[in-house]
Amino acid sequence: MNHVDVESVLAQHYERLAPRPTSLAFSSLLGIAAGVALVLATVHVSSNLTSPPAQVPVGAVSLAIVKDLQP
Amino acid sequence: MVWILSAAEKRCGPLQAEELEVLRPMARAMAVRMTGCQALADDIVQDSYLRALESIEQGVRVANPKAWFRRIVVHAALDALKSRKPSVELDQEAIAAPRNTVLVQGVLDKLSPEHQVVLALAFGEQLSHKEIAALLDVPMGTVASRIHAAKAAFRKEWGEDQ
Repeated sequence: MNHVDVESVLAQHYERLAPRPTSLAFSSLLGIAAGVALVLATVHVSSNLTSPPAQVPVGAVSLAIVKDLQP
Repeated sequence: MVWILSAAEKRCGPLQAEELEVLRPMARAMAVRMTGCQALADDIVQDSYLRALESIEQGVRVANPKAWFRRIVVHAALDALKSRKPSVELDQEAIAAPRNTVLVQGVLDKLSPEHQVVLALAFGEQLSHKEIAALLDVPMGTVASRIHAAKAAFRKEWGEDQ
């Protein structure tokens, strides 16, 4: 145990005793970012479930473009 | 603590009283890191306010209230640690704390007050040697050697405790 990283052990200990304001703010930002990501992911999944993409044959699209280009 | 604030307003004007009050969270966090004890930290903060008000009453001129008050808190903590009697019983705070916190604090409590304070200032407050030297009224070389000795003492006690 003589090779214990004293600085690291103590830094973690003091942080547990009284968190520094900067690390609190950073944790809050991380929490907000995680929350936003979760909401976006939920919205994305639910929109895919409620309105599946239209199945349009590629040939029909090409025909429509060609007709559109005709004078 | 209400009476201290009203006394502060009388003695140094509303602005200075507000300046002292704003520093309370910083003072308490410092005291907790230096002692590892919430109750003792509260006593140190109260003692620090009394010392600060006494100095203000004596007409001290303060250019940097934060640095000035921080210095008062450090010396109040040193005095409190020196007069603290060793306790063999675990208090409610220690029982509720995570195991790692109890282990590390148990080792820190075995160190001298000077070592406890210098470790908290260096690795808890993350202050430079120059800032610590100013707070403790010692040369920078003394700060470096004290940190070195404190780390060695911690390592020794940690090894014996494991």
